Amino acid sequence: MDRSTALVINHPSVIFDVQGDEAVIIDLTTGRYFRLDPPSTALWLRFAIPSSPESVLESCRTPGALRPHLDDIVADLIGRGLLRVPDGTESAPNGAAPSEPWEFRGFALEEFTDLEDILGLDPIHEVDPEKGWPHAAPG
Amino acid sequence: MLRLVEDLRRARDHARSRATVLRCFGFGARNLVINATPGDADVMPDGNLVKGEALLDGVDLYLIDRATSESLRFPEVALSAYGAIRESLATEWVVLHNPDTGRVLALDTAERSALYHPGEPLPPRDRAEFCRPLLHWLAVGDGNVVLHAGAVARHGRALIVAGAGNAGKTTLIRACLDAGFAMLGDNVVEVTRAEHGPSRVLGVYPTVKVRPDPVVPAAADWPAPQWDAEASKHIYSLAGSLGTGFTAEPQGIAGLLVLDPAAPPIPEVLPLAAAMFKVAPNTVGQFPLFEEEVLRRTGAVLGRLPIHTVGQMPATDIAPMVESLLAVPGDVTREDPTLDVDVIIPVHNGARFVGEAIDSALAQAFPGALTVWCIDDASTDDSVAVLTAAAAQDGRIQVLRNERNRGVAATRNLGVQAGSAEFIAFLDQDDRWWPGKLALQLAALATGPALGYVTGLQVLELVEGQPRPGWTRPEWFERPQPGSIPSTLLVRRRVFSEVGPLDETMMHGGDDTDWFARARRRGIPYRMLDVPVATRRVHSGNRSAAPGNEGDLLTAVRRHLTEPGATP
Repeated sequence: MDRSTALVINHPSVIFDVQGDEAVIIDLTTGRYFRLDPPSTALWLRFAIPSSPESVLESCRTPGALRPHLDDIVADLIGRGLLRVPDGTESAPNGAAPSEPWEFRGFALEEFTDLEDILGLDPIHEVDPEKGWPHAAPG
Repeated sequence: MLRLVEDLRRARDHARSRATVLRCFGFGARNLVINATPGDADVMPDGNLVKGEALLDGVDLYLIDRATSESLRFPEVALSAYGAIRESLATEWVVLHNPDTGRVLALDTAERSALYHPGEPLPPRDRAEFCRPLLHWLAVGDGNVVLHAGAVARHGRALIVAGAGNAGKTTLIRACLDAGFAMLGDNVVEVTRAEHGPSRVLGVYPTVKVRPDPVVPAAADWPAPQWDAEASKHIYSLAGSLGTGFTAEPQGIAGLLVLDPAAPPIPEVLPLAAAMFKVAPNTVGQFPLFEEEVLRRTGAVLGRLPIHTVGQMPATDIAPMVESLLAVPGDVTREDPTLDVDVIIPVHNGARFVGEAIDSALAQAFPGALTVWCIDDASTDDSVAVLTAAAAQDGRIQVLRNERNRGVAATRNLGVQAGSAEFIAFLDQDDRWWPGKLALQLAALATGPALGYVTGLQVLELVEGQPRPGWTRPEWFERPQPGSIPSTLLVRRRVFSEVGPLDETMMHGGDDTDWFARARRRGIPYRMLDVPVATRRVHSGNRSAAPGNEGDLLTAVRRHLTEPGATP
């Protein structure tokens, strides 16, 4: 993959949120989920909006540390189906997309498969307010 | 052909006029009355038959001599592989003639009498072999089906045991006999037709075929066996020695167990189609004239039963395993309050489809009682009217209402609290259950008391006229998918309580994910049946990217990662 090609988190198949600088990611098509520690989350969030690896490298305060690892990290995320090339249908990301410079301090993705059968296909919930769930309680 | 029929009738009249020796044998669902002369002693059937006590309602069989047999003028027609004259189907006669051996078996299905000559001299054991085609013809004529299977019974409930040769049928039956079960047969049983009531199974041959190195040895008090060189097994004829151990009385069928060395040592549910592949070939192969009809009937019989498969297990575990399978609901009409089920259907603006969901629940057949709890969560459409009308039609439906919208989790919890049945099932308003869903799942839970809950596969279905939502994959609609969703779940009430209620703070549908994950963390044994149990309706109103739904799922996963017992 060319470092100049933009990539983005594979939404809507992949959802995530960040709490306490730690990200939890779910791939809804496979039912696998992932955990990122704070340093890894910092890199992950760069792809909340379409970003090329090159631009990610440019935004890093420690490009020398990142450069040797970046291609492997990106290839791994693409291989797991967590990143993809933007197709113009991207909706607003559900995580903050930071613009300030950041520091690369390593990247470790923990993958879990124990809930595959529960999370896979789970998005099929009746969530349309006109046709079914959900309805938040007024007030 | 008509000339042959005239010959057969004349031969029968002649045999009737000279027969002086009568024997009566139990023969599946009927008696077989054998008419012979003292000179027929060398062809008289021997062994492998149960002596009957009555001559009523029997099928008259006339043993005919060689001269009579040779005087019959058979038409020049191609014989089937079985030696039967297929054209004979055009009359009431069914004729089996083997010109190489001189064997003749001709059955007048209208008058229910038969002529038989064994052809070349037969050893005593083979003199009863004619019973097999005769039995099959009569069984088909009576609307029944004969299965290549054994059966054991206790308290009037029978388990049919099928499997290929040397799969362990006789071992199972031997172990069950030692444990006080009755045996109906180890190789051939007849199932009576039942359009409405329970089907019943009858024993046919009171024999047990035992290989020379049996897992469970023959009992010391069994009579001396005959050696079956073809099967390389000893044949024990046990009609006179088993006492109540062998029963020719019809027994209600509780289920089918398919023995398969490749299967796990704990019974698991076997899909009907797979069972047919394992049971039908041997059965159909013995009905060369009625293959299609027999296949249809075999499917009809099996389709009503809980079907399990099991592999090899220690001999000491066999009888308890059979006992557990006999305890599952099957094709036997009885009420068992320990199998009652509360069905929870949360409803919010579900008027369009909820009627189908309710109907699919009410159509479930199983021995326990069913209560369908429909809880309306402040709908603004006609849901309440639909539910009220349904309840007026069927007393098993209970309707509850939330005055204000509380969300799906709270609504499901309300249904759980309202009921008191031993088992709890959920059904979403857009979904519908497959026939047999509850029976199969109750059967699975009955076979494993440690199992806390059972799910199954889901079939995804697009609402007619709507495009496939972009968040779905095409292959999801091509074949059943794993279904860890409320509509596939059947859970013991005590297990639901142990895991705890659905999290009512999850307003957007992630409550079930959270519940399943909690159950997983607690290490509660569960099983996903490899059969479809529910159809899930997918429409454009479902979507994966609903922010609230994402939040609930992520909360459930984060909780799973951090709370005690989490797998990681």
